Amino acid sequence: MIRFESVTKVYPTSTRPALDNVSVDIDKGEFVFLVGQSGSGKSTFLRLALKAETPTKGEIWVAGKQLSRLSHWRVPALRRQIGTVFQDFRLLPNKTVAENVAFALDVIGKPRHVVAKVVPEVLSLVGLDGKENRKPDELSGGEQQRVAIARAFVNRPRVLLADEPTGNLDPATSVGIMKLLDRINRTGTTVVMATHDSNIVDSMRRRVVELEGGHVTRDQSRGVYGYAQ
Amino acid sequence: MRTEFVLSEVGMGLRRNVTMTVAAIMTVAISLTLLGIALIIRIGADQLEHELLSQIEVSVYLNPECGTPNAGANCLTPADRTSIENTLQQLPQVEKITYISQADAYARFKEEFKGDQDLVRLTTQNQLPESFAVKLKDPHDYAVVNSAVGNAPGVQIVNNASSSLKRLFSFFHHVTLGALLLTVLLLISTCLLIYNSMRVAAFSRRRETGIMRLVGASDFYIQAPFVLEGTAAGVAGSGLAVLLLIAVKWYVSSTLATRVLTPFGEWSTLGEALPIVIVIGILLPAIASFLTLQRHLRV
Repeated sequence: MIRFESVTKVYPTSTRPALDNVSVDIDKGEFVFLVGQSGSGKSTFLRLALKAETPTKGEIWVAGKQLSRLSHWRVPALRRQIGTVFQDFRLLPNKTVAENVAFALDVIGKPRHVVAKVVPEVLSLVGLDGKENRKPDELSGGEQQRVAIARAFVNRPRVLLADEPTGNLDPATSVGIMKLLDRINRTGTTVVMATHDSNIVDSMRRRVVELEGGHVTRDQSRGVYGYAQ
Repeated sequence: MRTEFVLSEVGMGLRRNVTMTVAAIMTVAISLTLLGIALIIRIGADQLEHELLSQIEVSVYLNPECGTPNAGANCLTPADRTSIENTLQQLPQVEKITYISQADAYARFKEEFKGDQDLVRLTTQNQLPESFAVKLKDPHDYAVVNSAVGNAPGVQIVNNASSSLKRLFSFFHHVTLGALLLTVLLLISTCLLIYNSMRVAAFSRRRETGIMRLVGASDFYIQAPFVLEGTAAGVAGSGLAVLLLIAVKWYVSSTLATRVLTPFGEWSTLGEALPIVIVIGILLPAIASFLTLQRHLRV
């Protein structure tokens, strides 16, 4: 589903590559943790998969498409197959929960009756029944992240990219978010989650890809956070 | 595509940015009004020039005939008169020649100055010279007449009104040029203002556009609200400009437009200027906002 082949990314303002000759292959339906310290290249990995950045060297395939051959006007079609969740939620403060989720469908031109049907379904899936008309600032952090996940998932993407989704949440709330991501993964959606929360990684026992200074230092199928084998 | 969704975004954007929107509308209106006035002067001056020149005749005034009381050394003989007429008739530029005798001239004089009876009483038929009124195919060729018969025996003077009109038209020309120059400056500042207000709008909506990009909205969905906002300002500004120009036209035709200056106060002149004004008024903001987006809303 996602394949990086000898990918190097050097940002113009930096001499050290953010990713250095990285090759990773992620299958359909996998749940992968991307771990490593800040600056190890986790976010760069996710941004490259979204085609928000282009690699300096190497090739990337996402959802069957070779990104270097994807023309500018086809990028939106790629992103409709990818859901994205961030540490800072990125909700629109002046829209309600339901409107925030509907926005993702409105702006890709989905008909109104589809939006009216799908939005309550996905809000119920993430456990936000009855909170449709709240504004984001009336919700707890965990609930806000659920709205963001609902928005990322409402168009049923094939891949869900999550960049430190529990970074702003307390451990108990994080567990709820992880259960939700696990449920989404069980529907067949590939999930790639960047994190440095060792408890979560250890408890989930999923594939772990560790980055350090732009290199892949570990790729383990049922891993834990540290080198505790 | 969901029209009602795009339109509601446009409405929201206009309301959020209301001061900038008003400023943009007013600059568009003012610069377009000035453009309209410049066009009206240009079109009106063209029509006036055409109209006046087509009426103008070159007059070849003759000396008094030999043997009459006023005759001087260079008096006119009947042979001279015939030779002058023949010369004029052979000029290819000439359309028509009318002979005006002293009696004709006096009749015209009485008609023209009937408001000033003293002057008419003091003037006798003998004081008025006989003349040939020469109508040219192209009024600009007036110099030919002078070079052909200006020094012929019996000719007093070749008079042509075009030379004094030329000064009038060069005045109009300079006014038009000045107005157009000012208009260009104003249109540039209009563009810059719209560019700026679009930048502010793009900045104040960066969360929305960021999410739109993330979830795979097409360039059209991201940019259309901005371009439509610019166009809406253009349409409103053009509408205002049209109203202002109609007011200007009404003022000119009711006060300034004398018998001579009629073309400036006519609906047809305004009608020729308005389409240009409206097209520029709608295209300019749309283009300006589109260019802003190329720089500030790249996907």
